[in-house]
Amino acid sequence: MFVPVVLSTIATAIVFLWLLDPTFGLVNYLLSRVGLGPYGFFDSASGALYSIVGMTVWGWIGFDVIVYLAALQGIPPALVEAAEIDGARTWGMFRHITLPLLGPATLFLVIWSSINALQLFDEVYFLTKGGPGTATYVVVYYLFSLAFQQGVAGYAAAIAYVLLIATLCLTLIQLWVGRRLVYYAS
Amino acid sequence: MTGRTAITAPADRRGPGAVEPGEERERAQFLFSPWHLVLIPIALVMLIPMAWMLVTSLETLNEVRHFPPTLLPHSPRFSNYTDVLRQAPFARWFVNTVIVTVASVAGNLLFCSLAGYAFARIRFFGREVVFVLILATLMIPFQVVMIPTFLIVKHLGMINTLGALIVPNLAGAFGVFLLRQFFRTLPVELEEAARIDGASRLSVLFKIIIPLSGPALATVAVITFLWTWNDFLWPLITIYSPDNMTLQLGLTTFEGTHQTSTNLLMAANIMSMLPVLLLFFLAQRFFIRGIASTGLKG
Repeated sequence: MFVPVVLSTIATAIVFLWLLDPTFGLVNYLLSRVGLGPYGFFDSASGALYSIVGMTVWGWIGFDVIVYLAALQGIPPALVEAAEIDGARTWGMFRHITLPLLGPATLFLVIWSSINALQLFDEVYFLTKGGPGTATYVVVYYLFSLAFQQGVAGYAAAIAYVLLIATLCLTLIQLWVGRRLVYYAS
Repeated sequence: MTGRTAITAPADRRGPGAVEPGEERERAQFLFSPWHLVLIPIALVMLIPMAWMLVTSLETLNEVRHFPPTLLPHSPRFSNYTDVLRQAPFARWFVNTVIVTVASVAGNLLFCSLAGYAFARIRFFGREVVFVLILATLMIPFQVVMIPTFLIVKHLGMINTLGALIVPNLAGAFGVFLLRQFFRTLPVELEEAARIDGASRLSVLFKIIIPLSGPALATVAVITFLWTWNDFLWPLITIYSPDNMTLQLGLTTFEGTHQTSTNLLMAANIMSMLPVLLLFFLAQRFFIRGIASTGLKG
């Protein structure tokens, strides 16, 4: 489960490129077995984008699992017992004990995943080069192509600042939400 | 250096007594529960890409280009792996990556220890301000400072050399921060005793502090290793001749020139992952702690 987290994005992308291959790929074979035609995942704008999304989720989910696992193990047994004595059923227990206590972990993961997603580059460069058209252009890919392919370093540096500001905004949101809405047990 | 700290560290151990009695009973009986209907497909989705890569890497080209796909190779073809080593400058890329990674890990351990110790123990003018500035750089994504870093490396005349990959990675804010926090938890009395016995600051650091800081140093080493080994963007912009490429960069070139021989590509891909996987299984504890503390990936 955790193994994909330590693999490089390029290695992951190579595997997925092969899995999603329009003629010989395993995924298209499975699709054809249930009557769906061969699908060129990187040919359409939304297909390319969501393929990259799926691959990124595959690569990062192990990290989220670890964080949630640690958070779940950190839930004090006393609270669970107290709720049991008060007659909480499974759903009530989840809704009123587990979920609120997972708040800090959830907030952290939402913000971290957003910041990481803003920095997405490798998959786009390797799989689509921003294409088809400009459908999968992401911030860092745009920055890269301006600075290192078209030689417009100044404009690219300005983009870098926008990226920085976006990252800082996310961090501020994390602090703000954390203070207002999230319950910290300790 | 990484290997030594990782191997001599105690093996991964679950916290004792963490399991509730009820949970234990359930696990002992191993009953089928409705949850398995959700968990098994998820596990398959996580597993299949890796398994498929392994299968493809052992097939002949005919089996690879067969439709429906061959699920098991007729006879595993390990020669794909040796073919990769012979055909592409793959071995060269591997050696380059090892050099860059080892140098970065060693540099990080040395410089972050020195800086971390100074911030933890030595009082000097402006210490807190400098430390906060270093901490603040943790918030800045690498992509933001990529262009200025590139220009600096270019002025140093190191573009298209391994130096371009090593020098900017020799020290990092994360390592300084982590080691400083760890060093502060060590008892000052040990150091004071050594100082009274006439040891210099440096020998205190190397003979007392560092031997006590195994876990923290291992975490820094593992994070640096993972980051350097898997990095793609920085090598992409600084290296252009095939002889100086790292594995990640080389793999994309390899993909371009061997588009049709998927089996070789998968074999190359697996070989590029092996050191990371090997280290991961040996030092799982440090990987998980390191990644959990930084959220490092990509």
